[in-house]
Amino acid sequence: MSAEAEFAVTVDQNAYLSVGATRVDAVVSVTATGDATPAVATEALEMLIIDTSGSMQGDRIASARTATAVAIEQLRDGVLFAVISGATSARQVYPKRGAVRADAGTRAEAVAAVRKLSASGGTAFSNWLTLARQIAEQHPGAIRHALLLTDGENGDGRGVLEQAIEECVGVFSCDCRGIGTDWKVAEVRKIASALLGTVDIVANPENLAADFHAIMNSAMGKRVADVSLRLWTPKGAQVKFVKQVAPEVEDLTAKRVQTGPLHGDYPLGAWGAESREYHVCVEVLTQAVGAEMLACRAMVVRGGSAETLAQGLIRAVWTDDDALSAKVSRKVAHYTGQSEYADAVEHGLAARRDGDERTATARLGRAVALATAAGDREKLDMLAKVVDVDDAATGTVRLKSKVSNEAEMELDIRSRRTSRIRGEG
Amino acid sequence: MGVNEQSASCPACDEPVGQGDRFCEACGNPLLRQGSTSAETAVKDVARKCPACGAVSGATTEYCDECGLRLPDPADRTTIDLGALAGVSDRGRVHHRNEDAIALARLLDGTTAAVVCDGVSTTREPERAARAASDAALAVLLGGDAPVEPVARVRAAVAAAGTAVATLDGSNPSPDGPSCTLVAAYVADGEVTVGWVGDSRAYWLDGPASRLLTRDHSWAAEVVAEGLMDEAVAFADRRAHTITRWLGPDMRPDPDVISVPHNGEGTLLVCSDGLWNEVPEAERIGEFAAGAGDGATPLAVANRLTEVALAAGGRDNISVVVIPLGGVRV
Repeated sequence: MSAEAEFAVTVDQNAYLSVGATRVDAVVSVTATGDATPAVATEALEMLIIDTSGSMQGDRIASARTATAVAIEQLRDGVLFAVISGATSARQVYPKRGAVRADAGTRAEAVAAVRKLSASGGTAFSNWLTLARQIAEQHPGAIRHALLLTDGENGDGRGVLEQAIEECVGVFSCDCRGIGTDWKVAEVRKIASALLGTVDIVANPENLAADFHAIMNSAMGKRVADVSLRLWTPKGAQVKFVKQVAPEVEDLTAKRVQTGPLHGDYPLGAWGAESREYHVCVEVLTQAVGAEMLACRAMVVRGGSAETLAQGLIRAVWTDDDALSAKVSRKVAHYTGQSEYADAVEHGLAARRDGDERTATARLGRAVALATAAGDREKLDMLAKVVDVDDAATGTVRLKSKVSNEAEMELDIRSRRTSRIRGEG
Repeated sequence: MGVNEQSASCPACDEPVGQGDRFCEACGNPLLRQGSTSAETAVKDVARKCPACGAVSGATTEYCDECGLRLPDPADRTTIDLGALAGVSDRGRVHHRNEDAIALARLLDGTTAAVVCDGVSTTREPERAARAASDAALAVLLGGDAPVEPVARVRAAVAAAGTAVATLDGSNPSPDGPSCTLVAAYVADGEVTVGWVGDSRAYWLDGPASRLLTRDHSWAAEVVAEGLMDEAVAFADRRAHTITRWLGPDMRPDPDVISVPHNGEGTLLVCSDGLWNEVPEAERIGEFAAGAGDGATPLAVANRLTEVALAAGGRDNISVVVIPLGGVRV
């Protein structure tokens, strides 16, 4: 077996549509398997971007130094890497310019340089990302990944960060971590979403090293640099939405790049041995009873090529048997609920911040009802730190008057994390 | 009135031909007529035009490359009419594709052979197994090199089918590789010989004397045979249709073979479970067959039985081959 990942696609759906129906829903599961030894055939670039603004002084910068050292130690021999410190401007901590190959010597030098980091100045994410992009652009074809650590609010002028993010799309992927509770989830999520990464809160600086360890583990396991989900739909049909629904909810609809008259690509970033699931919703032209249509061909393709690594078929069969068409695929139902939960939490918390108590109560109440229906203990525990629950089943809640920043941020960030469910098989 | 087996002669040059000859020794004219699912569906390997929108799609897709509608698959309904016998294989009303296959042939001397295979749907591309097995078995049933004794000949045919299925994926078969059931019938010299693996069946249809010739290799049939349950209870069980023998990458072919004399009365039917699931009783199948009318051709009877199964629900692929034992003038 080659060191590269092998892909498999499965589709969960109820293909039967009632007379006149046009909407086809399916969950497309993409799984990559590969041998356990990390591939060295594909070049990899890892960039560590550490917030060294003034607010990091004290415990935070100390923890950041330790965690960054842990991450550096995990770099495989031969992997290209760079360490960037970010404040009002960005500068390279190690090496002086560009990236260097990891070996015992370079790793030790990088750790020594990181030990000297101190904190001062403001926060301008745009400059950090731009420096990372300039390094990454020198290594096209490599699996390029960044880990960004921050503790504060962005000080960029209006539109500056958005512009910088836009320029980084497709150049590297970026996982973001916020330390403490002074950073803005929406701001950091903007970076992670656009750059196909994750965002999480590390409320306690002591936990940072363990978190970095996990991120590097995943980053070092990536084998295929650039994978896209290609959706073919027949003439007259259109993709209403595509959402990653596991491991986290992420709407990909707007990321479509048209690659042919009847197909478009949605970039999925780099892949290791892992599994992700996507809710695909297609609007098709209705057909006569008995007709069968291919509503969508879901293909995993290597980025920038026509090479199909795996594919699954989403079908539509029109029937006058209501018993057949009324069934909803378990997976589709499950992830529809999970997406609605994420929306309810995000809107509810935003309304709460804006002082709109009615909307906040209604939306967070809905989130409680959905989590209760799904039997999701973890989500209910997080919600209980923000609302008092009168009736879980109906979602009758009251907003708590005192809510810790940490609890609110945790609820917000983790709202998009989904639990999995087995398909009908 | 059957084909005169004693004085068969070549329809092209009128020279006498030997029993079992596949070609005329004198002029080379083929004396064998045959048809099969695989031959009928070979057209699938060329580009096809969509009847709905007119677009031409590639060879490998089941759906129109433009409008997405399912392209007609020749296997959806295969009809093979050899005059003295005929077969129909239909997708049914529920299944996505037809994973059954049929293969039938007759020699000028009146020797006939038919094979029905039903792809096991829990395996990958089961229709490949069904097609390969039916072709391989038929080739042996009417082959010059096969044993003369009918039971040995049918056993050799099943063995060849087993080898064809087991080697479909070359030298590295996987456990979920293509698999199928098989029922093969060989009719010659006043004798009907039937071999089977799995739950495809052969019936003798002759009015009230109609009877099932085979005994399924299935969970239900085995618990009934062992006296553990009565038939009604066994067939109502969730496990009833689980087959206990099949042809596959991991199975040594283990057929049952029976041989019974015939006197030219009645009709031999070989079929897949798409028919008998809907109408299990031999006598009722016989009545439906008779419903095709006096002097109905084998093709008319095969069509009639297929329509009966479709009307009853068509919940599985339906394959039937009809062989009147008295022969048919053609």
